[in-house]
Amino acid sequence: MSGESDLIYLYDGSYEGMLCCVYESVYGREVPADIVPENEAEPTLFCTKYIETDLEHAQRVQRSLARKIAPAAEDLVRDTFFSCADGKERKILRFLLFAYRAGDAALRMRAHDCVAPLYEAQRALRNEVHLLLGFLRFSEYDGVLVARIRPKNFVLPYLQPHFCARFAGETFLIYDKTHKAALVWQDRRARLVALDNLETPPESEEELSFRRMWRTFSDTIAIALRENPRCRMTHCPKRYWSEMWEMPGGEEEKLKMRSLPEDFTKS
Amino acid sequence: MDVLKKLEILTDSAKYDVACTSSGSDRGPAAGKLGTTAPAGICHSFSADGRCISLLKVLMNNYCIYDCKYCVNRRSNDVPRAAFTPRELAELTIGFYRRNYIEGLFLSSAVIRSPDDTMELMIRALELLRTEYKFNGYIHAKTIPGADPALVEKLGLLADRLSVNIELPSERSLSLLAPDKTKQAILAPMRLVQQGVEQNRAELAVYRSAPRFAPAGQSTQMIVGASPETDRQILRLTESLYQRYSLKRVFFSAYIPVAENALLPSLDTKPPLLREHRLYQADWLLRFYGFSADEILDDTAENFNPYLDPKCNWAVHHPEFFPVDVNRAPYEDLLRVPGIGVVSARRIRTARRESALTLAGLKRLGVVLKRARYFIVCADSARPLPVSREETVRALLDPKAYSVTCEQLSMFAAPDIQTLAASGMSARKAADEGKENAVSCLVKAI
Repeated sequence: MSGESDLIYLYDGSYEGMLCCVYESVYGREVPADIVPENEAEPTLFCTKYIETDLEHAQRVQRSLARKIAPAAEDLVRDTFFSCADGKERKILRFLLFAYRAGDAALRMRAHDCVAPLYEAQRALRNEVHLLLGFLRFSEYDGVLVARIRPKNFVLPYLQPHFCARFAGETFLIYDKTHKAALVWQDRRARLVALDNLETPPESEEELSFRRMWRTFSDTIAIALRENPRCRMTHCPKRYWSEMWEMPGGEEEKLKMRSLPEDFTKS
Repeated sequence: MDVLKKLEILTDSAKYDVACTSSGSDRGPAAGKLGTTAPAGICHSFSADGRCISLLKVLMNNYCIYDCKYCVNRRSNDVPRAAFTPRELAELTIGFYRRNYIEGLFLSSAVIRSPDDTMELMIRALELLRTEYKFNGYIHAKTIPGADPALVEKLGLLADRLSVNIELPSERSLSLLAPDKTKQAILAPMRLVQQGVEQNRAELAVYRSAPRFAPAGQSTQMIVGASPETDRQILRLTESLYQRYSLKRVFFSAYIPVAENALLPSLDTKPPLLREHRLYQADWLLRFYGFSADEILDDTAENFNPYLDPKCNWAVHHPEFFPVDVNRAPYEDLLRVPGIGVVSARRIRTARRESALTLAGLKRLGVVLKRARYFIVCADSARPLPVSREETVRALLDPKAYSVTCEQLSMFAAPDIQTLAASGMSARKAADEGKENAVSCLVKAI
């Protein structure tokens, strides 16, 4: 395989698309300088090559992960792809080119330059998922539960098993503002949909009263003599606070009226 | 009285209970029911004091017949009193749970009329929640010392975790400060729960769908700093609770003065937060690091070193154990190195199978080299850093011991950081002064 070229791969931004870039690199015997989603590409002096997404190619690469490396490589690669790590496609390709040779030993080389970045990305993603299992807040609108989150990583597929099991009998929607996507659970079926904007109707008196009670509980449970705002921020970073009604700041913003399109509950 | 007011009163009465963990129970969804439990537990928020909020922690009521000196709810104290009805409590729990505010309910109660009456009220509330409201989430319930064993059994079938507060670390303190409670009355239900859990394990082995009795086991808590026990006594008690009563957790609660009483520390005493912190660090060493209580605090020390955490303290007193070769040492030895924790020790064990680890590699695995490098050898460093004892100690000092907000530690008659700060010295300068003093004291002591 030749060394790094001055070529940049462009792809459609999907997981399958990224796998096709790996396919292209392996079978084309070239290592691109970078792999970038088409819509994020900036004009450069590098040559660019658009890689079509071919599901058959994607599947071949997907199968090779378990066969040529180890089953755990599937999770590692997928988690890295959904993380917000810088240059994640490049990191994945670098890892795979290395791991196809090293085999399952690659997964144990946690300190290796080609491997460590993936574990770091995976850890960042899983940490955020775990935090959101607790910090996400639902509000009820006519029996439908709605939550808004602003995660750095694409966490919706990872939140799905937990919330769909826990609230199996409910109808809920989790809107990811960062990635403009939503997880919808309705009639015991989960769907991931693209959604540019989410508007909700004004909160009911009942909803607001639950928020007030929760705020009261949280304020009262704290022991004044032990006050420790820094410890609180360490465990619960401020970027999660905007929808956490019990946290200080933005009182009016938090109770702000929102309007919801008519067809929301039907969609 | 409206529910909001009741919630405020009964939360205020419950806030000194420490445990808020929702771990230890792995229950998937059940048809027609609301909720699941997560084995590792989930924190849903953090209150202004930095403690995790995982469960709705409230008392059923705070009308208490007892008069424990250290407790806000003692009958001689003039505080507002309230009681939830089972339905109010269930509606509140479900409302919070559906909005993902909480993992479940932590129900405790003041002793109203008698221990049996109190337990019956709690059982009624939990039954309503489990059956009519079909709640399948986490429940932590407090058993009331002196209640009928049949009631403890009933409670255990409704709850995930049970707990009995041991309250104070010795029988003498208990009889002095909580005259209505006896050691016997506290340990009896603890034994009952332990037996219940063991018996249930045997039943489950035979019959998979046998009803589960307290699947997340039991925990307890004790107040630290209200009575004169030493750290060593407390730690040995903790160890024996884990060994003899198979507890899942022992919690410590730094005493917060709530009453003026000749038997208690005065009202202006700061809660011994650093001491509590050291106890938790030692508790971790007992549970996950293979240390025994007598290793952490031996005949030479009755109390924790305020400036070094217990693991670093052990390391500087046992130079014969080091250096540890990270590429060869067994897992148990890796765990003894300051700067290597359970997670990084596991990663080292996996990674070194493929290639010898270097300092840079260790850093990538999450080892804190700032502390570890004085105690290890690895591929690119055949000897630990050849530095003076003074430098090692300086690197291991716990910054927590120098914050001006911390209570004063008098172990080594170091200058009072608070006094220095109060006399106009900047907080940073006062801390530096204290630090230098601590280093020289420690080096002399080793």
